[in-house]
Amino acid sequence: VNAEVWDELVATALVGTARRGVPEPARRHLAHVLGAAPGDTGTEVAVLTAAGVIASERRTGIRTVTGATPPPAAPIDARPHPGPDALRILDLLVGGAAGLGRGATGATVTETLLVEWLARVAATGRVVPADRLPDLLDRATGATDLRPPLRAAGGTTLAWLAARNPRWSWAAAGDPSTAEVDALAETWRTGAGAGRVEALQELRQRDPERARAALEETWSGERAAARAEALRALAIGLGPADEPLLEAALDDRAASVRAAAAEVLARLPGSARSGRMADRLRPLVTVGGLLRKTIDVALPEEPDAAARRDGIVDAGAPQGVGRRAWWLQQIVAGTPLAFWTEERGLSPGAVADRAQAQRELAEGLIAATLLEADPTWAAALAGYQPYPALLALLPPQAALDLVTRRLRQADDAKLAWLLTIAPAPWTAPFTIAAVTRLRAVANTIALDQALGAVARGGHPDAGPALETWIAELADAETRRRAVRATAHALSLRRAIEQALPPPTEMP
Amino acid sequence: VAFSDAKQVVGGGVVPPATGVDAALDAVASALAANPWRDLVPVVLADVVPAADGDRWWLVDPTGARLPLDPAVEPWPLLARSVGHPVTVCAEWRSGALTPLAIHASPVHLGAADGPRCTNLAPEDGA
Repeated sequence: VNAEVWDELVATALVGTARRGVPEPARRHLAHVLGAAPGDTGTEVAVLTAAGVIASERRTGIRTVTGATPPPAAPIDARPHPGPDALRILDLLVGGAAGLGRGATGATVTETLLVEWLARVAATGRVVPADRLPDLLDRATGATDLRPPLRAAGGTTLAWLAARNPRWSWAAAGDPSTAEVDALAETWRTGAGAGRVEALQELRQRDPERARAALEETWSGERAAARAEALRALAIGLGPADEPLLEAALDDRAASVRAAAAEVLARLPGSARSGRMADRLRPLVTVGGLLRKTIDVALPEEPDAAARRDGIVDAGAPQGVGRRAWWLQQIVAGTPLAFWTEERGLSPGAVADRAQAQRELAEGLIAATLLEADPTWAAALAGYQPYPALLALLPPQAALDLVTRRLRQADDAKLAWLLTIAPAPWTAPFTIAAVTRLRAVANTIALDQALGAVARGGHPDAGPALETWIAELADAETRRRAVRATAHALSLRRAIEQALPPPTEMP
Repeated sequence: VAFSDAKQVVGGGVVPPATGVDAALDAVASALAANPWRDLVPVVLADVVPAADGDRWWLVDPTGARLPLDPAVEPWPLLARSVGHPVTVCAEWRSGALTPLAIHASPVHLGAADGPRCTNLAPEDGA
């Protein structure tokens, strides 16, 4: 029976048997199936009987579709899986059932512990079992911090699985396929609207050279707004090869493009622009004294056209910083640190000491230090202001020592902030000292913030100190719950360590 | 025999044997022939691989015959437990598509020491 018979039958049923008889093919089919003509049972019965028969045939008579070839199977990752205890911890964390508290703090602590779990799995030579991967991929799609450790712990199966879901494409196998890169370049070349710059940014992430080439190709035909946005995309994967294009854009006819070029060029260490900044700084710096060197940094005069071309601006000065001080800060930020050490023979410590008393000098030096990621300068300047980015450049112990020194005189709010920036993982003494100090915190918001920091970075050895505190909080329900969540986090941290022993201890 | 209760496994309450696609369709036809009012037939497919074709997901058996998954079904839990290797899938056949209920996979890819290799995929009742 074909579909036409069915359609005719439906047509009859719709208009009614008074207007339309039983379609002849349906009648024939019915006779064939029943072995006799429907006879005199009436048109209605014949139509409904035929409908019943043909409907059943349609439902049961499904023809098999053949000739499908499934994709090649995922290569087997031979590394061992985590044991049942470790998987139980993972399931608790993924399921949000680990007792880490609700709200934003609970979520960040959960994420931190997931990162630690995954990193530990990878570090001990294990691989995440495939059935746990979809949930983790979904999570890491929203929380980018999870991506690097998940890639390391997910193995070949992760890449195989991710290649099959467009949402997970970030985790798909390393080398971007040429087709994808071509498609992105094509979107930039011929697309319209905001999607173009997004495609360029994406392309820049995958293949920086190709992205610059695509930009250079369309450069002359781009409107000013597109030129400026496209230049900002070069900040992704910025390298010396981008300098000629950026340098040329400093002379663009549109002010917005010139500003964007200067902004991106300022993020490129060792550029010609940084040399010009050093030239501007040179006459302002006087080093005197024979035994004890004195350093004097004068404020610059009104920037000339060349300085304006390099992006020295009046806008954006922090509160209380004068125009000339703001210009100096921008010049210092753009000057290579080697100017101070190699050209002037000064130690980072000596310059940092001088900067204590000159805010714009200190801020400029900090910007230059972050750009060059120089740990020696970071150590010298972190005493001025312990910016998290500076602390991140220091060896962990040095960073913790620095925070510890400041912890002593800190008030409640400052304490919470200091604990938030203290780089994880914390040492046991630091964690216990922090917990002891926290017991005196009255401000609930500061306490929540600080407890979150302890949960994210704290050493599990502080567990007993937290338990003692919890026991004393019998009457303070809210506070007890918050401390309890932190204690949970520390005990999970220990459990992760124990459930994933180093490979040599494996049975 | 209850006609109305779609969830009831008609035919003695026995879980059907794991088969290929052809045999499963035969079983569906027999079940519907015996009771045309059923809208749901349980099937167990042996050695099938989940694979995408366009927007749809299918279970492909070793002969290359395939049956579609219900578009409302998330294929990822199934795919992650197979990762391209043949698995046994218990499913409901309804309106010409499969809703997987459980999967039996080789332990090579899965949490090895973590319980049986048969995983329940069915959503909670009422979902």
